[in-house]
Amino acid sequence: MKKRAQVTIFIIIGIVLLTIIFIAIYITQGTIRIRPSESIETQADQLRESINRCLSEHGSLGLEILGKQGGYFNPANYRLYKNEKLTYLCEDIPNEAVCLNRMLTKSSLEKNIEDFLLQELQQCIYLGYLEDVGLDVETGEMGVNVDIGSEIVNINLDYPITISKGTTYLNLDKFTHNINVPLGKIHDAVADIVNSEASVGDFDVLVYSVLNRGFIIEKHRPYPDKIYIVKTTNNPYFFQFAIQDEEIEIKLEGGTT
Amino acid sequence: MKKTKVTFMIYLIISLTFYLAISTNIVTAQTQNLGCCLEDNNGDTCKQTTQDNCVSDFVFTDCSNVNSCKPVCCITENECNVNVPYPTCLASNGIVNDDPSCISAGECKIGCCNLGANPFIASYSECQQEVSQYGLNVDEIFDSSIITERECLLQADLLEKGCCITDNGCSYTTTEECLAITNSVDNFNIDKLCSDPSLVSSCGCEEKSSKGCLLGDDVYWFDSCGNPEDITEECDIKLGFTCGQNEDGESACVDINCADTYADSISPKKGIPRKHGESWCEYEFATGDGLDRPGSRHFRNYCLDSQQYVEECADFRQQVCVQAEVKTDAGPYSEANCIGNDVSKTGVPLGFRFWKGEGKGVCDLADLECIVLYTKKNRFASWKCEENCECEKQSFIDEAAKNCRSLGDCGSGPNVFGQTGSKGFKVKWGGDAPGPKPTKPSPVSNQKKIGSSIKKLSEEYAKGFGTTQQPDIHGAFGNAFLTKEGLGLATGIGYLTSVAFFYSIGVMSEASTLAGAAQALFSFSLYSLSVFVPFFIIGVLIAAIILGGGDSATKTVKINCDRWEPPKSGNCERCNDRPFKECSEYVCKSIGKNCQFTFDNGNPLCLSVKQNDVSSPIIKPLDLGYEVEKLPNGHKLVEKLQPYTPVTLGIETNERARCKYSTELNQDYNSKLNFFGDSSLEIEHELTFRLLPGGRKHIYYIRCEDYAENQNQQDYVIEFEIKPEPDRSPPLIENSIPRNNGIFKFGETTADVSLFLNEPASCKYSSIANVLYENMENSFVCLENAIDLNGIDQFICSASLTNLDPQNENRFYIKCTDTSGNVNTQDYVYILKGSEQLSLIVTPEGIVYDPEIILTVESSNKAVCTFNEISFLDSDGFTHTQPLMLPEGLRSYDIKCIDEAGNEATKTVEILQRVDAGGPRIVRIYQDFEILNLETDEEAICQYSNERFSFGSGKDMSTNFTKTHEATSTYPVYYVICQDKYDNISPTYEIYP
Repeated sequence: MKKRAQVTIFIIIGIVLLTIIFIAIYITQGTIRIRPSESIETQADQLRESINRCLSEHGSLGLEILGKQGGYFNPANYRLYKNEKLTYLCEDIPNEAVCLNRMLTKSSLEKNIEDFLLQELQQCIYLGYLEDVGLDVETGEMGVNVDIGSEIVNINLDYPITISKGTTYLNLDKFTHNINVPLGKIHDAVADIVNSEASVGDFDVLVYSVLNRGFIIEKHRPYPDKIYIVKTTNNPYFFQFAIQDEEIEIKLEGGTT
Repeated sequence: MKKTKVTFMIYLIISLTFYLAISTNIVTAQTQNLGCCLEDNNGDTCKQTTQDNCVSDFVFTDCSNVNSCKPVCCITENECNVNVPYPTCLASNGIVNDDPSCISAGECKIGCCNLGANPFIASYSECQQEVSQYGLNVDEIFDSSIITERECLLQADLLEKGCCITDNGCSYTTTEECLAITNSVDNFNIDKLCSDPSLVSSCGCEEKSSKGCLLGDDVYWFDSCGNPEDITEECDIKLGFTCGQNEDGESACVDINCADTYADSISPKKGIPRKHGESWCEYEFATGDGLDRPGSRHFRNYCLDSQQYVEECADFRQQVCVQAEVKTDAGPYSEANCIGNDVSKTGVPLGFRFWKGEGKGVCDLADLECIVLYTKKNRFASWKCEENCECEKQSFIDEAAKNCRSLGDCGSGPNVFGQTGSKGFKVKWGGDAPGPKPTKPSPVSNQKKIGSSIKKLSEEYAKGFGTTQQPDIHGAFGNAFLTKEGLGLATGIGYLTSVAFFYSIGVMSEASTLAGAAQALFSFSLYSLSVFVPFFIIGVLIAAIILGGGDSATKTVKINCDRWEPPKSGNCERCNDRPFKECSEYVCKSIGKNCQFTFDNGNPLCLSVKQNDVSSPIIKPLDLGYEVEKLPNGHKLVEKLQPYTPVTLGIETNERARCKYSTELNQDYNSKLNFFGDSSLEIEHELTFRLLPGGRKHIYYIRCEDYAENQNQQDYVIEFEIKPEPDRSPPLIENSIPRNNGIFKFGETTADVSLFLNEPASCKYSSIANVLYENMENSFVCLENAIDLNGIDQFICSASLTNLDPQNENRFYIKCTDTSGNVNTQDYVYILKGSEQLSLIVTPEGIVYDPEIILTVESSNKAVCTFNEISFLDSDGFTHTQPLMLPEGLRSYDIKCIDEAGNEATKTVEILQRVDAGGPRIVRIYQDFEILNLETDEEAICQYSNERFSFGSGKDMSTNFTKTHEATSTYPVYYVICQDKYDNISPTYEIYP
């Protein structure tokens, strides 16, 4: 009689312990997961690497185009200069020295790169090969967030991917890549230039460069416009844009124009 | 018991009731003497006291019930006082807020008054008072989101630097950043370097490990963890020194002045060393005082970080460069700037689009006419110039020409490259007076000169800029910008120079404008005529009377100043080749009338364009150091090129052109997709690419198009050959007999194997995997010479493999080496399996009636079969077929098959072909329900009827040739006739069901 009672107690304790363990797992992880097999992990590593390569290549390409075209991928109002379409970031106001500021904000720049990347990454990220090796792949919606920092541009890709084989699965969703381009710093300089052009009609490259060490700013004057090329001393990345001006005709009483 | 309890309770209730009643009465009696006094003897307001102590209004009630005594929030001297009686607040000239707790009073909001290094918790008002003494805006200082003192005090240290200990090591940073990384101030060691001895255990960073640069100019020590420490060397940026990498690659104070600068034209102090931040002007030939030439422009040069930069002032001389020179402790220093061109001050005329006819009206202002009077006293005297004698001198013409040029792009002076203009200045003489009649101005001096007007302006600029001190490069220039309105005013130079000119020739005493001057000149001539001529006439008459034979004569010089026109032809390329200077339309057009300006894909380009150009570009090899052999329509590189290396091919065109290439012959320019070089108009075209695998010959076909879109009609050819690359590849086993995964002969344990390789080789094999070639125990016998197999040279190696197991896979691991010693690094796994005995099934056999048969052999293994030593027409390896047309009689066929293992099977079949002369015979009759079924001895078509009929008019029992037939109609008697394939008709059968 005593022995039966002891056994019952142990059974009850066992059931309680199991219940606690299951509840603990459920609370901490939400769902009970199975450790993914090595092959899935290997494939996931390769996928991560491949997505990072896409982020790196297309991110760099996007930034390069953006820099060469004055912040736009498809400039609408631009000056063709040395094989590139340079956006007019300040447009001419007839008969005035100052111009109309069309400066891109940093967030607009970020948005432009995000839109570009969203399109490019759809093409670049290829998951078909996972199915070829017998894995099931499910994907969610792709989202790109770009953060322009002073010295680096941070790209965050939010792309939920579930790779599974039978009951084993692995989730990937966040991918990050940093590109060493001082776009934030350059953007600040570009804003200064455009503000100066928009307020006083000119910008003194030398004074600005002396005051703000680390910038190399070139100014050209293909008539009647102005071109600025901005870069930093420690990075080959450059950002170029145009300031629109108008042709001035010589007028004199009795003369021709 | 119960009774006792009840009695006690009743007693308790009654006694308590009495007690409470008595107590209330006592309290009421006490408060009846107190009241609210608005001001008592001591001067206190709203005091709860007796009437005796009150000197002001007294109310027998609690002060909280008196409206005028209700507590308020009282703000005095920026302090917020809670629960202050209203009269008290008024008495102290405080600001009243109805909320006695002061919480809702904006001035009393509590927050962090973040005053630099000394933040403190305060009310808004207190903070305001504190910051007002510094003239600061309280709203920028006061942070109401911070209400705890600790948090507030931390604000002081947010920008303080120190060592931050993180999971990833130690970094020298600010409190703010450390907090952001670690979420705790405990990890931050304010004012401590990470190499501080007290942090050795946490950081382990060694001090002064290396030198480096930070954002400032000085050189810093860095610890072994890469954190900055103290300054090791201070660099004087004013002398042009800043932190950088020296020649040894170490961080040090380096010179960022420009040791050498580009020398060009007449820039002041051209080519001399310049200091970092220094700027200077550069002019092309002369400038100012109307000396600027067509096509000329001002430039501002500057030195920055030891590099020289050139910035163009606005084209058409809409801006001028002015320069201030100052002496500093460190030596002379100049600063220059491009400013809007106020022509009346600068003496620099604006440029015209002379090629569009612009500026004619301006140039006309310099037109003038001068009448020179000559006389002779008598017929024996000689002619003598009496009036306007200056006008016949060369200097007059030269001054007139100079005046013309000074108005802008007028006259016929030289352009920016020194080439004289073709038109723009004419001198015409009229009249018969004697004396010189110069018609051409003297050549313009090429002397490089800065006019006084520019010098003066620079001096003024220098005054505004400062004189003795080195300019503060941290805030240098004033805003001297060109305004578009300003340009309209900038046309005064011609007036001024004209005035000066007329003064110089002494024909006008008062004139202030060119128009006035011209009018004055004309008026003066009339005046001269009207005033002096009569005297002359009188004099002449007297002289004639006295002396006789005296005379006078005049001559008139007319000077026409017109728009400058460029030389008829010029070297347009000069515009494209100027260092630091981009070509512009103004410069290009000033070179020659043949010059055409274009933005070629946004690249400024000056081209020489011929009238009615119909010639396509002439292409020739570009000298890139290769030895070339000329071909009738191109050239060939003599030397073979290295495979997989970058190579540059080059061509040169006799005019600027775009070139394209393809590897296909006779594609026109527009069909070719690839540009040879870039898509710009160039003289020299280079195409760089990485070469393809070696041992091949390549031909590129090129066509070019010039600016006038003339295209080559024939391809220009470049031929080149690539050397065979060194053999790095080991041999490749391309095939084998028996094939890999094939079979060997039934009943045997050996097999002869032949390997077919792509190059001469030696091969070995082993029954063990991954054995080194050298260690493999068995060798193949290899032939040195290639054997042509289906047009491909192949090299054979053979061996006899023994001890084969017919029941299982036999694996052999083979490696080969070529004659260059390249050995297979991986095994070629060769598998052989045992085979079944080869057996055959042959059809047809025996008697056949059909003369057309298909002899068919089915082999049990994949095999090659023959009949009478003739190959079968069709074979998939297992089924072998041959159509035969047999004559009547007996035929014998010897069938022989050999499978891939060498198993052989033979069979002889005899086929007797007989002619079918009789009709089909019914061999079986039966009725299935109501349907009559027949079977014939051969395939036939049968018809039936319920009466006798001829074949063809009965009902079909079958439509195809078959042995079974059925009649669907029910008759008491069936008449049936059948016909076989050979048109043999049976007799009529009468069938009674």
